[in-house]
Amino acid sequence: MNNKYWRKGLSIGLAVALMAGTLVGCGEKKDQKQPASEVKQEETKVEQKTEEKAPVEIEFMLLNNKGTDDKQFLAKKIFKDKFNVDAKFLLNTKDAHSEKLKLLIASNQLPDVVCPIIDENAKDIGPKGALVPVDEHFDKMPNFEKYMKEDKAVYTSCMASDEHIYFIPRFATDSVNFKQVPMIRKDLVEKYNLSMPETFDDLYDVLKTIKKEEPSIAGVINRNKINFLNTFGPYYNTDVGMYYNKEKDAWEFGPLHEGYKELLTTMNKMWKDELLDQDFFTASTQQWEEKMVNGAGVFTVDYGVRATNANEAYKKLHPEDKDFNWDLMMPLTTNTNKTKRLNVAQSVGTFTSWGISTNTKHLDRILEIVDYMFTDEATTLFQWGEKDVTYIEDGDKKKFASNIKASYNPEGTIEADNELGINNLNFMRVSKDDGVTMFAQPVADMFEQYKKDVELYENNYKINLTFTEEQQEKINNLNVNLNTMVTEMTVKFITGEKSLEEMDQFIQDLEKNGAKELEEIYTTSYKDYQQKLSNIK
Amino acid sequence: MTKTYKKFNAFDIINTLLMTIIICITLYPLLYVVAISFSSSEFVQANMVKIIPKGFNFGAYAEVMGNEFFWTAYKNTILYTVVGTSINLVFTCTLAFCLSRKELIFRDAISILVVLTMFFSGGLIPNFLLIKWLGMYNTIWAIVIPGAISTYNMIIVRTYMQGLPEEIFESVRIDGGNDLQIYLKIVLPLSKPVIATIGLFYAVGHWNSYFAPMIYFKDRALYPLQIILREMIVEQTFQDMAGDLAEAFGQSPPTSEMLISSSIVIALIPILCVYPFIQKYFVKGVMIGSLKG
Repeated sequence: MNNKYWRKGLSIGLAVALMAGTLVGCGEKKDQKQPASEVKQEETKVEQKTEEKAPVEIEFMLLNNKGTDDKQFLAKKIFKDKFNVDAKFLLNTKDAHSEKLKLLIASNQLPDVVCPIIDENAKDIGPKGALVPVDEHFDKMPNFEKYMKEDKAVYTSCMASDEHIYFIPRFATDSVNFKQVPMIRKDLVEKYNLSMPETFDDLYDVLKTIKKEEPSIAGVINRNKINFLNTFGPYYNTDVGMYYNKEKDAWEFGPLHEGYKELLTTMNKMWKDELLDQDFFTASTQQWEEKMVNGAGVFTVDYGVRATNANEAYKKLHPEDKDFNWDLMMPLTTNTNKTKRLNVAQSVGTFTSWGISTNTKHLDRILEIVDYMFTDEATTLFQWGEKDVTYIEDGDKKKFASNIKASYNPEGTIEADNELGINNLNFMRVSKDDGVTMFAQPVADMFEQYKKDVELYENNYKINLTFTEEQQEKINNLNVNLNTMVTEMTVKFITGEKSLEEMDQFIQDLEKNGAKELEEIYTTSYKDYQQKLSNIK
Repeated sequence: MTKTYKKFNAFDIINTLLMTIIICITLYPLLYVVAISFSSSEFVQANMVKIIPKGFNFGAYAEVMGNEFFWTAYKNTILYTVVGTSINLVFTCTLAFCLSRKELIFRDAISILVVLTMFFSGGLIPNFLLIKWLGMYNTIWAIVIPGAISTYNMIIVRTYMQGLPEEIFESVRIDGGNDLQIYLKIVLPLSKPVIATIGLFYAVGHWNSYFAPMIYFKDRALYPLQIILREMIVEQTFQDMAGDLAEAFGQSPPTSEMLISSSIVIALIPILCVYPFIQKYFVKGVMIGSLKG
C-alpha cells in the first residue's frame, strides 16, 4: 500500500518538476527581451564613460590553413600593447570556417570580427543587419578610407545594394601574383627540334609530333576537372558562365559566344588525336601530380611553383636524367583572342575581406584596429613581422629569417602565415611587393617577363557587380539549369559524344533556359554600377 | 586409429574464397595508408607506393608525434570517448531498465516520447542556440550531453532486458531486494553482452565524431583528433579561393599525404585495440533481438 503512495507521489513530483523545468527553459530571460542593438549601444556608452582604454576581449574568427593555435600570433601582442585588446583568434581551416560561418550567420551569433567573409556574402547579410556598415565610420578610419577611395571602381564594386560598404577588403599594392600559368615539357620540345608554341594550334602541332615519337604520353593534363574552363577561358576570351568582356564593355554568358565554340573545337581535336589526357575531366590532384612526374604530361595550366615541384620530384627519382624540365611559357593566343593574357590574383582581395558583426560590444576599439591595419607600420608588421626577429633586410628587399619556412630557407621550420599570423592573406589588410621572391629563379624570371609582355587578367577586370535580393534569387535559379547544361554538354562536345554541328542547337537550348535573361540581369546591374561609379566624387 | 578429416564442400570453398576477397578489399586501403605513412614523398608523388613502403622512413611519424597540438587533440578524443560513453551507458541502461518493467506507470507514454526523438529533431540552429543558452557552448558537455541516449540503442537494451526471466526478479523481491538492487545486482551483470555491444557503438561514435565538436567548440585546444585529421585531409583535396591565393603567393603547400596517413594510423590504433577484448560480447550482442520465441 505504502509503495503505491510512494510511486504516485514520486510521479506527481516528477511531473511538477518537468513542467517547472519546461516553463523556466521556455521563458525568456530578462536581458533577452532587450534588442541586441540597444544592449550594444548601452554598453558602448558605459565603455566610453569609463576609462578610455579599458581591457576588452575581441574575438576574431580566422581562417587558418593549418591546425595551429594562436599562441605565437604577433597580433595578440600588438593589439594588447596598442589597444589594450585581448585578441582571441578562433582558428578554423577552410571548410570548418565556411560551415561555422553559415551557422553563426543563421543563428545571429557572429563573433566580433570575421576574417574572411566573401564580398558576395557580406553584401547579402550586411544590409539585413548582421554586419556593421563600415563606410558610416570613415571619420574614425582615415587610413582605411584612403585605400578605399583611391580607386572609384573598387569602391563601387564593394558597395552593397543599399550603397553601404559592409566589408573591409585586403589590398595588394604594387604586387602581381600570377595564378595558373601555362607550362610545358621544354625538354621534349627541344629534343624534337620544335619551336615553342604561341597559339593553341601550334600546341596541337607540337603535341602531335611528340605523340608520334612517344605514343605513351597523355598530352594536356588537368587537375581542375570541369573547372579547367576557368583557367583556359581567358585565352579564348570566354568563361564557363557570366564574365566581363572588356573589348565589348559588356557582360556575356560565355557559352553563347564565339570564344567558347573555338575552345570546344580545339579541345575536341586534341581529344580525338589523344593529345588530351583521357582522365582530363576526372583526374584528382594526386593523379595529376603523378602525370607531372612520370613523364606522361606534356602541357598543363597551373601554379608556377608546381613546375619546380615536379622537376625536383623527378630528379630525386631519376638522378641520371638531367634533361627533364617542366618550364613556364608565354600564354597562348587563339583566333578569338590575340592578346597574351594571364590570370592574376586579385589586387583588392574581396574574397579575403573582414566583416564586423553588429553583435560586437566593442565597435570603437575594432574600428581603431581596422584603421591601424592600414598604416605603413602595420603593413610591415603583419606582412613581415619584427625586423631582425622574423625578417631581415636584403638590400632594398625583405626576406624571412632563416628559421621561417620559405623557398630560400630550406632549413626553416616555422610557418609565418599559420603559426605567427603574419603574411596571412586572411589577416593582413595591406601587402606590398617588397620582398625577395618566394619562387625558384626560373619561375621568378618568367614572372618578370610576364609582367612586361602580358595582359594581366584580374577576375572580370576588378568589376564586382551587386545584385538586389530579387535579382540574386533569379540568378541562382537560372544558374542551376544552365550550369548543369554547360557542364554536361562541354564534356560531350569535347569527347565527341555530341557533334560540334549541334552547337547551334545547344546555344538555342541555353537561351531557352534563360541565358539571355541572365545577360540582361547582369547588364542592368552593370548600368547601375556605372551610374554609382559616376556619382562617386 | 584412423584420423578423420573434416570434409570441405563447395559451399566452404566458395565461402572461403569470397571472404578472402572481401578481406583483401577491406584490408587494402588500410595497408595502403600504412605504406604511404612510411614512404618518402617523391615515391608517393609519383604514385609508386602500393602496399609496400618505398623510401622507408619515419619522418612523417616524427613530425606528427612532435606536434603538441596533435597530442592535445588525442587526449581530448580519449576524454570525450570515455566520459561520453560512460554517460551514454548510464543513461541508456537506466532508461532501458525502467521501460522494460511492465509496472512502470506512463510507460507507454514515455516510450512514445522517447521514440519520437528518433523521427523528429529540433534542427541544427535551434540546437545550437539551445546549447549556447544552456551555457554548454565550448565545453565538453555540448558533445556528451545532447546525445546521451540514442533511442535506437536504448530499444536494443530494453528488448534484451525484457527477455530476462521474471522469476529472477521475483526471487530477489522475496529475499527483500528493491528495484535498485534488482537493477544493479541482477539486470546489469546479466546484460553484459548488450552493454558491451552498445558501449562499442557509442565509443566508436564518439571516437569518429567531428561535426558536433566542430560546431560547438571555438577553442582549438578542445578539438578532438577527428577534426584535426579532417582538416588535414580536406585541406589537401579542397581547392577554394583561399588555397588558390596561398599558392599564387608562394605560401605553404598543403599537408603532405604521408603526414595525413601517419596521423590516420596513430588515430586508428586505440580503437583497433579495443575490438579483440570485447569481441566475445560483441558476437553475442549483435544477435540480440534476432530471434524471438
